[in-house]
Amino acid sequence: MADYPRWLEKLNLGCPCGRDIPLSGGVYLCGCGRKAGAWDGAKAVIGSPIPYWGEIPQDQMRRLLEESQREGWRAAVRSLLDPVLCEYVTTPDRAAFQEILPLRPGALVLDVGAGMGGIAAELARNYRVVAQEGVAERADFIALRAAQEGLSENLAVVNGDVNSVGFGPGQFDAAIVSGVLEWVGLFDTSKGVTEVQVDFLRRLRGFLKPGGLIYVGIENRIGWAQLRGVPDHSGIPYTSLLPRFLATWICRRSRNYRSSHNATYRTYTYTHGGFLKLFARAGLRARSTHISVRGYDYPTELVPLVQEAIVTYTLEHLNQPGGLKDRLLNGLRLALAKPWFWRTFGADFVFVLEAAGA
Amino acid sequence: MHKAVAAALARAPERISLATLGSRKGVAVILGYPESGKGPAWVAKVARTPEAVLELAKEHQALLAIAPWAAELGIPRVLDWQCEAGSACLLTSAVPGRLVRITFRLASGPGGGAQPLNTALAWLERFRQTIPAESCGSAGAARESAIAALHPLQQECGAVAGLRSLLESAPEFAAAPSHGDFWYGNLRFEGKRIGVFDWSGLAARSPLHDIFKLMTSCCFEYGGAVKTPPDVAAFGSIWFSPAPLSRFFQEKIRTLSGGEAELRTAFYHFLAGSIRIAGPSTRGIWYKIASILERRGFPPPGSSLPAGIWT
Ligand SMILES: [Zn+2]
Repeated sequence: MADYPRWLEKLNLGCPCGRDIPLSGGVYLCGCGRKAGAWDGAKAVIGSPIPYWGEIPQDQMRRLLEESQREGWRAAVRSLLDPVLCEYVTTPDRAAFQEILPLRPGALVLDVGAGMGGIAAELARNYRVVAQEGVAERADFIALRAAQEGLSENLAVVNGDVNSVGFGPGQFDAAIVSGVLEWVGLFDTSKGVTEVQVDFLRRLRGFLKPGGLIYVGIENRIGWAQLRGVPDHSGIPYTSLLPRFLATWICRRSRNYRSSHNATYRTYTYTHGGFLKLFARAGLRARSTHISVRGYDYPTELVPLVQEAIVTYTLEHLNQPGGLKDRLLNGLRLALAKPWFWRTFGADFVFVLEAAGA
Repeated sequence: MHKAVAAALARAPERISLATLGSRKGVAVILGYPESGKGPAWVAKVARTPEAVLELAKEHQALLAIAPWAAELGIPRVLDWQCEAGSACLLTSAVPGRLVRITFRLASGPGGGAQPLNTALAWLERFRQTIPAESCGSAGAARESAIAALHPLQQECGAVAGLRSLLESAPEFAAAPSHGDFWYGNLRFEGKRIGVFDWSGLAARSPLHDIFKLMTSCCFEYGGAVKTPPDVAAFGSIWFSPAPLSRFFQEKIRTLSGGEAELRTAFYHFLAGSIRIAGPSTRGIWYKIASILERRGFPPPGSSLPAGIWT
């Protein structure tokens, strides 16, 4: 039975009664008598776990957990997952954004919707990380992987739904929101999608210490991938480009619709200006904005919206000047190597946000 | 963010935007762009694995060794170096200027586009004359380490054993300072001046080594199709055919080599180095080249080989 890192005891959950509930001992009890959760030997379980969903079916996930225990998680991932997914789960590249995130060594980081722990485990090499994950199996996988990598001292797993895990105010140096903000509208259908997203960001802002940061990796609503017809979060191409009501109408009628527990279009992404407005409503502003050329999932090539940086990047990624077509394409790419063009049509955005009052 | 990068941001008198360029051999490359000014002010390389730290330490050592000539030769200056258990950061000045893709078709030769190529070759000449070979280590040591590094690769490709024994029995050549990865991607042009970066491969080698590397990087197959160097057929045609571009290079090379024996040794040393350093995906191409050449008795470059043996 694995023990939790000592620093976890210094973290508090917020109780609706207004008191703090420390994450210490085996059971998390409030003075008011409310039980918030418990340590189950591998992870802190808060509230009831959300129904299983993930990159692989549940039975395969359970096999992966068993085999990880027997053979080690890396071997299990290699033998049970397809190469693309294997790369996604194991690569340190998913945390490459840490090079632009101004954090001190040992900073306390909350990874929101940690999935299979690719980002959390990598960050735990340099920071103390709380990996929040709603699905119990995935949370177990993160804990197992951290233990086997010798990272348990720096990584604590909290298994609970994004909307029910409420930390007390002012505790984290940063929150990582990579590929999560666009999905939160699915898990709370009681209000408008934008309202859910604003509330979500506002809640995260509350968890941060003064000067704390939120990292957001997300698609551009009208990015060149979307314009090329890469499937949207709905599973259908071009839905992000449409007015929301039209996207909703199409999703209601489509049989290709990706998510069964969502009968309408609730995975909103925005344009650059739309994101800034959304952040402002949550009391946040962008401290830096980058285009992640390989997509936010692989944030290894991050280009700031600065003329010189865009031109340099473009020059280094032109095609070999073979035929006329390549030369024309290269010319066009250089002509469009402008901040306004990248801001408008760039692939995925990577924002580092701070409190607007900071 | 590495604390050396944070310190550089804090020191700067103006706002700096960071760009990341992915990683090479596990070393992440980060550029710092000041609000005013053309191009980045500095480059930070961050290593977060033991192997990457070792690689970065090599580059740091190399830059210290050639620091006295840095300004003269357009070599980055070391601004900061922090190395501790598990991570390291090397902060250097940026090399000014732009990337120029020096790519030529074999059939047409360098023609009017030879200017950047000549600038690069002239820089190599100056580099050799300016920096004493001793400051880059001994040629014997470079050869020994190349031979040792080939050993584990023999299991994967039979021709490597032949390459290894060839290097073991080859005569010594006059050593010169060598960059080690002198391809156009590591050069920046500003008029007739160039800057050169990525110095982790600095060593004393044959004076031909860097020219061989430059050649492979800028030649591609004749005809319409663009090939990524080092493609087997394109490679073979550069070294072992009378194509116009090959003749251009071969003339340059003849003026530097002390005869056919030395040319041959230098070439196979280069080939061994390429096999050693190439990633798993390109290594297959080099294996194929080595195998073809082994069957021909390791001919010196410039020999004519039968047409079509590369495909
Ligand atoms: Zn309470």
